[in-house]
Amino acid sequence: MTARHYQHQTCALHLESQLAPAGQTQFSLSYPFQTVVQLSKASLQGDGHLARDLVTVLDRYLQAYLRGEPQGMFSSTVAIRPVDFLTQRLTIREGEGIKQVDLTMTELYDLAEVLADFREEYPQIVEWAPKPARTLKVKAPAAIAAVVVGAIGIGVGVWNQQRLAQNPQETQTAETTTVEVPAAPDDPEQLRQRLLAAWRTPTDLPQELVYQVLLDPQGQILSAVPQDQTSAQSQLLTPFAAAPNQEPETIPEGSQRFTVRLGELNRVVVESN
Amino acid sequence: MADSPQPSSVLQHLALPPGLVTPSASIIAYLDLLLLGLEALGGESSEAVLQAAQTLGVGELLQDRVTLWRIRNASPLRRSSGGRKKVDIDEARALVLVIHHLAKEHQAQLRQTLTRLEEAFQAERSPYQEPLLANYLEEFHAHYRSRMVDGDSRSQDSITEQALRILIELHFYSSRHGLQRLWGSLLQRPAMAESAISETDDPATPVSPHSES
Repeated sequence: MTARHYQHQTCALHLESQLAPAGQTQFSLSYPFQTVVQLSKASLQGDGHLARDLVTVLDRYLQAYLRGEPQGMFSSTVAIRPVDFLTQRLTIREGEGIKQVDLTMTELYDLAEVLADFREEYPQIVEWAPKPARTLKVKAPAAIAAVVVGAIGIGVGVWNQQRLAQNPQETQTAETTTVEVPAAPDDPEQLRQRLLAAWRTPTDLPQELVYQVLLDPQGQILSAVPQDQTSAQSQLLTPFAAAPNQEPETIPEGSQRFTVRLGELNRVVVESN
Repeated sequence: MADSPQPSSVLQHLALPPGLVTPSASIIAYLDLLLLGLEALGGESSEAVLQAAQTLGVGELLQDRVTLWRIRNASPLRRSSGGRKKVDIDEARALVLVIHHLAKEHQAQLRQTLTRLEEAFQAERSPYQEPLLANYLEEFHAHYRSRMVDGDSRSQDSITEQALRILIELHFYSSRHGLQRLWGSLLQRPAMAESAISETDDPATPVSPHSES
């Protein structure tokens, strides 16, 4: 086993390879490795993809922020977007589910530092790819389907100008919008209303995103199958972040399929199939 | 100083894209705002900037207060930017090194001030209730109002937001990796809107190099 560890105040990055040959003492990207990121509020775990995607996505996010154009960035396993003046929401695909954690600016700084230290030592991480091909197959556990809509809570709190004023009495709390009420399974308008509450178009959306969505008879989302590559890559930024991207093998009787289009200016179109 | 590094060797850490010989208006404006943030944070004077330039081996590029005044007043956001002072890209690169150096020196203070800001935000308190933050903001306001072309008209809240953004960004530039972060952000910085620049071309009250600390 070989390992590498980086730490900066509120954040630690631990990389560990169980498969390194006996006698090898130095950590290398040449062998499959596990990634653990310990933040003050959460622990994130994954394989080498997590380390690589954190490095590249966080770097792009920070670049955009520092050039004065903060905007969400994402890959297939990592997404980050601004929530308010001092907070960003990091979303990680972790096995069959997702994990979200809100980072303050100092926490973002610490995470950026450990990732920069790692990248400095292993610059090839940005092009790293595992030897065997990897496919993302996600089953449809009910626990995930139950919280699909609103999985990426939409932060509507912005830095409140009142708070900046001298008068400390006038303040406003950042809010998170989540929609958990199931839709009637055969009513596209109800589904559209739920999605409207949860969908905020990223500033860098390259094209309309299209998903085939399956609702069970109780209106819970069973799956959201992306209809093209961009929709697949962007799923973490949509209300379907936690939705299985494949239909379950057994589909309950009475389930309904809808085509959902997520577009610019928070536009949502739902069509019955 | 025979054993001082040559500016060219020091500046090579900041790679130049082909054809970039003059820093854009937005680059100069941003560097000036970062220096203003450092002044507000630690009371940094022109002398500290010039001393840092000497230490870093770019003293030839930032020789005296007049040179520094000329570069900073080339910012189109300045009251005295009329006539557009000419700035060389190496002068801007030298200033990048200096800002990183000064930010590093103030890293603990930047962290502490930013932590206070986050605590205030979390507790829904005004940043003016935190003495560290209040001092920084009051200094930033005073410098901004006296030097910037919109200093008389820009709202209190808007200047405060600008000050807090500068504080956050300086923190990111204060680390070992901060130099490349700062340089990268400058090269990617979008151009300033022409309207914003032309509005500030009409000089208001000229400011002499001796009126700034």
